[in-house]
Amino acid sequence: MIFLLGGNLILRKIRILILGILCFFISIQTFSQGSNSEPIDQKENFNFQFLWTGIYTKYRIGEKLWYNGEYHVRTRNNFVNEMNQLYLRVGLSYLLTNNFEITGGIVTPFYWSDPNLFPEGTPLDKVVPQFRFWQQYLFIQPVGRVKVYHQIRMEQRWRREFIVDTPFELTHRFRYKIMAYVPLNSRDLQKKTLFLSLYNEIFIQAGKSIQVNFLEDNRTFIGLGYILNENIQFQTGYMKSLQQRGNGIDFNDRDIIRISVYHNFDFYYKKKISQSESFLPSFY
Amino acid sequence: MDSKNLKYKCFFGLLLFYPALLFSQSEYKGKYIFEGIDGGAEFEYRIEDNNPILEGDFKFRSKIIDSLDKRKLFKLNVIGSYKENKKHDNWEYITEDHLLVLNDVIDFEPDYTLQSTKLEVNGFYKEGLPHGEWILKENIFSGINLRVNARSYDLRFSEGAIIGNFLFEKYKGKEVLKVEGKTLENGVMDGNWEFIYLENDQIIKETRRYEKGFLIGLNKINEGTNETIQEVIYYNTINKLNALEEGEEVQFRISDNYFGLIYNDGFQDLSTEFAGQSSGNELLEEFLIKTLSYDSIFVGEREILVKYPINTRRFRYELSEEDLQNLEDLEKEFRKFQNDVNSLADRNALAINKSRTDSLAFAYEFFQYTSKQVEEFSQVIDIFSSDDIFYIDQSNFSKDGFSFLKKVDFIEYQYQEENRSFEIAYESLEDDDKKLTELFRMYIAEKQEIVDQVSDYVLNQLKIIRQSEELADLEENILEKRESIDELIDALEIDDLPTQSLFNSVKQNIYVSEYNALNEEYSEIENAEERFEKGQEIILLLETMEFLVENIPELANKWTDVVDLYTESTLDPFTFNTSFKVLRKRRLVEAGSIVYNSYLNNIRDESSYRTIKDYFLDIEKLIFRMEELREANTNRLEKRLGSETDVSQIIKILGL
Repeated sequence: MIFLLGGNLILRKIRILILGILCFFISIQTFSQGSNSEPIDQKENFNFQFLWTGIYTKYRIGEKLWYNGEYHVRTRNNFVNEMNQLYLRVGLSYLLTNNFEITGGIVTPFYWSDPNLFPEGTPLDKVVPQFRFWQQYLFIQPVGRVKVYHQIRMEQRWRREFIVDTPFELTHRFRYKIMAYVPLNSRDLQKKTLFLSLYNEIFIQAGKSIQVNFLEDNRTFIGLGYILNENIQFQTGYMKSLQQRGNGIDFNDRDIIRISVYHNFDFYYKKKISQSESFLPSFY
Repeated sequence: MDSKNLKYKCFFGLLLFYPALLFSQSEYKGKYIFEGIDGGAEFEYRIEDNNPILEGDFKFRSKIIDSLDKRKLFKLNVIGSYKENKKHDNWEYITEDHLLVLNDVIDFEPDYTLQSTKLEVNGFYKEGLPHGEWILKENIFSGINLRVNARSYDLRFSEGAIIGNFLFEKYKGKEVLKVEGKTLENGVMDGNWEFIYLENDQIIKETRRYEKGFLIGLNKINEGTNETIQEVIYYNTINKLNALEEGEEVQFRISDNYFGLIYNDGFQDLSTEFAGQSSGNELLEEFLIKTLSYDSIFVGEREILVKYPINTRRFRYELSEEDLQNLEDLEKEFRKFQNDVNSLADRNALAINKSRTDSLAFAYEFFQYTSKQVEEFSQVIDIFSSDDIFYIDQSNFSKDGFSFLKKVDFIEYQYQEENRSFEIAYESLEDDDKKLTELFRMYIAEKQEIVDQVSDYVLNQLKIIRQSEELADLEENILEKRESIDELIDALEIDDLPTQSLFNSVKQNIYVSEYNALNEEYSEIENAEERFEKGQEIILLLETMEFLVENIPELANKWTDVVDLYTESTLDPFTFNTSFKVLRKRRLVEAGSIVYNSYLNNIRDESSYRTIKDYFLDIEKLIFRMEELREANTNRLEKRLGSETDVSQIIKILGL
């Protein structure tokens, strides 16, 4: 009976969660459509296609400490025809509890300019770098067999336009992502598990140069993941991104295919095991 | 760079590393077993080649209440220090033994008596050996009196041996028992020694004279009556020492080795030369054991001296090549003789069937008689076949004769309630001028001949009796076993398909094919002995099958258990699943699995009951090794395994 009550409770939690996620998605889409409900001659959606290929690494170096690295190659124009971005994000993650992780680090992305987006003859730098600090809080919420993740990320970005000699300016970005992993072929996320990956992330930016386009981006992802073994996982899927452009009216409507490899390694265990396996005398 | 700068650098370098040197020592505080005694200890140690090396101060305490007699309490307090894992400098051992006797309880007040002994030993060590002044003091508390029970005077060690003049005293009522003597270098007994001890409630004063480790005279006086009880002059020893001193050409020399408290030049246990030393040595041993009871190199587990801090010397006798060869042959011949006699003396069949004929009744008693003789003889052969033979003056040894050498054996036996006897005379003992070894060999040869004759007769008779009885039993046994195995197989439940298939193969190979083949051979044999042997084979096959029925179902889980042992729950840093199952030492487990499967295949394909059980032993060995390696450092092993798939190579690398 207790089990049944527990089972009902979990089912109810899952329903509430799915409902919550749906409401959130609908609200974001509505927000975007709200912008679209302006007179048609004042608003324009620009459609782009991207392929984001990424390697995510987490290397355990302490009992609760991980080196956290993300390395992305992003291409555009029919997904692969042009280089769009090279993106290196590194940091240190500390697991405060089994359900709460904090991370801090730096990001050094490189952006490739797209002359089509500028009036002809504008002097452009081909590649423009950026520098960011980032902080992240990740809350893990197990709901039955589903894992839900709430990720809050902040970034301080020193960035500049592609136009030659434009100065670097500091802007801030706040991101919130709600994500769920749903195991499909096993009870929980173990080796050889195929899982459904869903998320929605909202980006809000601020700073002197940000006047009208505070809602920078909204990304919605659906994909499949596979846990090959304790070191390697894969994810692939489709992401829809709606970016508010600088004028605050127009939107970039981006279709993005994502292919990601996740690699982790437990250096801490290796070290610990070699220490614990070394000789400990027994006197009794 | 000038030399001054260099000196400063060295100095600061040392300062920098000195704490590291200090911290390489670890401290231990906890349970500890000191010389076989449970207790708690505090000390420092470091690890060298995976071994703990004790260094610095050492403290040990133990308090044990006797588990059977709760009135008894034992306490031990040890303080000392180690240097390079060896006892060093000053050590103190305080042992207390208490016995609390409850006499009465009056008005809820207990009336009890406490009887206690407190032994305090304080001494110095150098490189693990006693070296320097030692003091032994034993107090006894009885009722309200504390009095000294035993003590030492002028006790001094040098590199593990007592040297110089010393005195041990023990107080027994008004009497003072003592051992007083002098030793030279290496604890060699020398000069006059005095022993006072109790023997049959009489105070005996024993004086001995040693000459650089050789006992040359012993005199015992009853202190009460002043009467001389025993006087032994070791003339033989004196003559030998004189001969050596005068440089005579003799077949002996003073041995380079040192021996315990008993001076022996080939004296038999019951001789006056040997037995005369026992009481005095016993008292001296008691003192030495009290003094060195926590030094296991001197005192063994059963409180006996295994190494002596006080020594005697002995003569070493030269033996020719011929003598040595004779000794070797003697031992071989005796062992065969001993084996032949004992195997018949212990044979149940002979004991059971001895009443069937007169000859069997005689043979039974003959072997009982001879086996007792062999036991006594064996003690002498043990001495002759060891290095002790070099320290035995054979004339001393044979002086009092040997109880087991009899010119005529008189065997008494009973047959049909009638007492009978039989005499066997030995010619080899007629001429006793021969060398001992030669005499023994001839005597053994003569006895061996008789033993062989009687054995042949006995074995033949027993064989005839046995064959007819055993075959009937055997066939019944086979049928019973077969039925019991059929029942076991019927009751067998194996859920796992591969294991079921494995069992089916084994059943077909062993229980059907091989059994049928053996059964056919059995029915075709006419000779009773061969038939019996074949029947035994069938029994063995059935026993093996019984084992297989019991053990094959367990094979299904054996390797899964190993994999579980190597599987740990950990946190996956991407999904944050805290119970993510990870197989540790993957390469090792995979290699083990290859070997395990090869053993299973061997079992499946094996068609002989003789060898099939070996694979189960192999599996046990593999599982044990895997369990052993779970907590071991296997980095090198895993590297060696690499991607090896060859079973024999993996077996070699895993050390199976």
